[in-house]
Amino acid sequence: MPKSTANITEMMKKLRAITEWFESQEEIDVEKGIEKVKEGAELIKASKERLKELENEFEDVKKKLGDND
Amino acid sequence: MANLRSVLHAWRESEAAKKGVELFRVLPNSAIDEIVRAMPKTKEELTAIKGIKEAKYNQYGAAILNMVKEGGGAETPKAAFGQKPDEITAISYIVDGMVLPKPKEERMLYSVSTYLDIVNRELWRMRATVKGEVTSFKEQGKAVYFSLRDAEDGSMLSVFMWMSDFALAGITLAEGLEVILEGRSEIYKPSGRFSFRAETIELVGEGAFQKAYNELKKKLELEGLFAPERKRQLKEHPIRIGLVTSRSGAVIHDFLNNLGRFGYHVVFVDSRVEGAGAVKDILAALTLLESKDIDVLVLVRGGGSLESLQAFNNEHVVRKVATFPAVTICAIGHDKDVPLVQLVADYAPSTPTATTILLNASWEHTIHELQTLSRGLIVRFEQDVWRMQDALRTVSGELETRLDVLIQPFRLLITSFNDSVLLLARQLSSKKDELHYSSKTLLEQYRQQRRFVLEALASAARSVQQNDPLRQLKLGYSILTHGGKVVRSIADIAVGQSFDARLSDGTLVVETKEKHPINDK
Repeated sequence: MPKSTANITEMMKKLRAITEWFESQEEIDVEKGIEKVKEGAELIKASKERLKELENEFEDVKKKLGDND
Repeated sequence: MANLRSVLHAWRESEAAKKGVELFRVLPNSAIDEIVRAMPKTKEELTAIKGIKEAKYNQYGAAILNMVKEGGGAETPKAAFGQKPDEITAISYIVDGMVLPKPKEERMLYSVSTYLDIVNRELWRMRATVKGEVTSFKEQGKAVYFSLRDAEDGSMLSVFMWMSDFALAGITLAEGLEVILEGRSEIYKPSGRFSFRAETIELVGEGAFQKAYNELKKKLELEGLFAPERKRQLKEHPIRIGLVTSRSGAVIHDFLNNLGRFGYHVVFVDSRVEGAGAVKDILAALTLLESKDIDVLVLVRGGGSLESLQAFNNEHVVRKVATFPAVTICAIGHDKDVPLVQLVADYAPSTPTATTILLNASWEHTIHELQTLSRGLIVRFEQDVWRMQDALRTVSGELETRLDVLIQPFRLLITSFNDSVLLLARQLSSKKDELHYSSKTLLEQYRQQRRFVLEALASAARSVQQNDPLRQLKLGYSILTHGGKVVRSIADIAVGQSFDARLSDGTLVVETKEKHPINDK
């Protein structure tokens, strides 16, 4: 599970970078823009799917006062 | 076997306390379980158990074997007391553990030590909570000693407490202070002295708690433990949550029910959260979670008075939370005084539900952000493209205008050329009409001329017909010829000569007999 979340956090980072790229462009490079939009769309799709899959897990850990945990 | 296990646990606890070490250092739980199961009778059998090596055997072997022998003795009463138990007694051994079988025939003789062991085991089963006033308090080495006096009739109970347990309570004792102790009694074998071995101690009364709370708060504040710059930021998308609270109670349900479904991994450690006993539990839970890979520690419990929340104002608990490796969230319901753990925690929301809101926040923000992004990203790009299209249109418009200027003369030429061609076509067309017209006239004239000619010819024919000599011949005239020549005068022929007379139906050959000239002039 931690791996997949790292993915969400990573994906969000990438998406934000793309948004920033668009904001920073004075004169837009269409070819690059198309690429970025494509990448962004894929990231959005993947993130949404990832979020749908997430299920909680519950682990009941017993502490033993006498064990060397 | 419950009794042997209890005996071993009690023995281990006192050994650990005597040596000032942790319980597992004396004997791990697994070894105790194994001893109860295997019931070792010899050194070989005992050292075969995992966790008990030569050194441990030398230290505790005799004591353990002795306990097993006695504990096991209860299981086989025939060997120990020379008496065959009926089934009911056998069950009562198992249920009650250390019920002393009553010897019927023989008088049982115990050594002092064995007897005290048996009494102590009985006492060990009687865990109790006792309230009284503190008197003659003294610290000595690893332990504290004092007496507990009954406020009503002055009865006295001597109390022994390990320094480590006492320190955990984080209180200062003074003569006459009312306290509540929890623990078991024991007879100390070397002196035969009876004492209550207190495991926890707590102050009684709001006033005492308030005083302790204020003092500790001031102390920790001076140390800077509450400083805002100490607060750590919860990471984005937390996953692994270390949860410490009581398994029973509404709080854990509130928390779990409101925790969004974002793939959390909740590592839950059940812990008492009420009263002085909660301190040990919480500390053990925190120690356990310190070694786990968690993103955030959540310590929650419902509201209560300063007294019932004392564990959350305990110096050890507070310090443990303050130095906890992961980000901490403490939500402890309270009235007036904020529990000190809340003050040192990185986050201190008011309720378990507020805690879940805090944990869910970055997830929910991400979901919202994704929605915005999935619309915004395309729109933004579209706008850029539209802007470019606009620019293109402007440029191409300008180019067209310029090109127009260049093309204009040609366009004029083409127009005039077209005009000329049109004119020519019109002229040709009129010529054609003219030709058509004149050819018609010509034909007419020709026809007229032809008619005239034909008419002339017809009249000529008529006149020829009228003047035809043959017609004259029919009328009675004749043509006279002589020697191929027409005879026009009587002079042309001599008398006696012959000539031809041509009539309409033949020729007569005639001979001239006489001549008669005509004189009519």
